Amino acid sequence: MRPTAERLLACGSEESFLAALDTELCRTEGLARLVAMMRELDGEALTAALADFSARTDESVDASVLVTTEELRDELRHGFEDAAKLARLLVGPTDSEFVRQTQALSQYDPQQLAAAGIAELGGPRLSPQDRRVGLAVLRSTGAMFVLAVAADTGRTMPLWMAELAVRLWRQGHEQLLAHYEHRSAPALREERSTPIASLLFSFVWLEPDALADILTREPATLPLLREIATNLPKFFGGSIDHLRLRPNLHTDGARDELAVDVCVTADAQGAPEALERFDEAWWFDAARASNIEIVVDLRRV
Amino acid sequence: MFDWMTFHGLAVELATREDVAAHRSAVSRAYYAAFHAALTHAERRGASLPKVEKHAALWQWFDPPPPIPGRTRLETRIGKNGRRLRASASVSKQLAESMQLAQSLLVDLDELGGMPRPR
Repeated sequence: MRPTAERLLACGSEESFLAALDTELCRTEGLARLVAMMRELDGEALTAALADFSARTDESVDASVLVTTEELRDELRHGFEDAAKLARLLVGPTDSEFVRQTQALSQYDPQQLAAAGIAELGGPRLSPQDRRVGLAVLRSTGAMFVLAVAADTGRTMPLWMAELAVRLWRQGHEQLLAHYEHRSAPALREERSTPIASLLFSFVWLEPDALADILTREPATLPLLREIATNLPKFFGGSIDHLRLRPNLHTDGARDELAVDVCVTADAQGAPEALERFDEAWWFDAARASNIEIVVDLRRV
Repeated sequence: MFDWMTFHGLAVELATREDVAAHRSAVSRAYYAAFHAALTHAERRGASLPKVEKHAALWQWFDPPPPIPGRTRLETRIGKNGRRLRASASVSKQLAESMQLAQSLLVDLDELGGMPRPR
C-alpha cells in the first residue's frame, strides 16, 4: 500500500487529495489486500493494539502527523477508541455478524470481491444514501493507509491533510459502528464529491482497474460520461435498470474504448427508439468532445 | 464477385427460427452484410484500412474520435451503429434489436452511396 499512500501524501490540496484518493479506490489492489488481511486478522491482537494506541495517541502519532491543535489530538484519540470498539464488535472472538459475513465471503477471490464492492456502488440495489456511506467506508480505508504510512515512515503531513485524513478515517468507523450497533448513523462529516465518485455512483463498473487506467489517461472523458448518465434517463424514462461502464478492449490494445451499456429489463418497450432519440437529440453531437470511442448501447437484463 | 447482400437475406431467414444458434448466426450474418457494404463504401472513398483490426478501423473511419472535418451526421450514425451491431453479435437476447440495427445500417449505407438495398 505504500506507493498508493505516497501518491496521496504528495497531493497539494484537499481537492487533489480527494480526487487522487477516489482514483486509487477504483482499483482493486488496495481493497483486495485489505480483504486478504482481514482473513488473516487476529481480532484479539488488533483490539489490544488499538486500545493501546488510543491510550498513547500523543507519542505514537504526534511525531509523524503534524498535530498542532488540541482538536486534532482529540479526534485522533476518539478515532482510535472507535477503531478499538469496532474491532471488539467485529473481529473479536465472538460469533459476530461481521465474522459470519467474512466467513461467507471467504470462498471468493479477494480481487473479485473488491471489484464486486466497487461495482455495487453504482448498482440498482443501493439507495443514494447507502452509496454515499459505502464510499465513505472505502475512503476511510484509504485514509487509514495514508495515516499509517505517514506514521511508519515519519513523514510530516501538512495540517490540512492530517485533518482531512482523520476526518475521512473517522467517519468510516462511525458509519460502520452505527450499522453493526443497529442505530441510526450520524451525518457524514466529509462527503465532497469528485468526478470519479460521481461516476462510481452513476455506473456499475466492470473491470475497474482497466477503467481507472483509461480514465486516468483520458480525464476529459469524465465529464462526458457524467453527462451521458444524466441524459440517458431523459430519453428512457424509468425503463433503465442500471447503467454499466466497461472497457471495450476488443482491439489490439493500441486504442482505448469505453462501452456504456444501458441495461433495461427484458420486457422494456420502446428502448431502441429511445436510444435513437438519445442519439439524434444529444449523443451524436456530444460525442464529438471525446478523444476515445465510447459505445453507448442497449442491453437487456 | 460474392454478393454480401445474400448474407442479409440468409440472416433474415435464420432469425425466423426458434433456436439460439440460428439467432446468433443470423446476427453474425447481418453484421457481415453491413460490414462489407460499409467496407465497399469506405474503399471507394479511398480509405486505406489495416489488415489487422479491420472491423474496428472501418467503423472508426466512419466515426473517428476525435472527429475530423468532412464527416457527415449520416456517417457518424453508421460508425456508431456499426460498433453496436458488432458488439451485439455476442448478445443472444437481442435478436430483434440487432436485426433492426442491421437493417437501419444498410438503409443508411444505401443513402450514403447507392449500395444494394437489403433484401
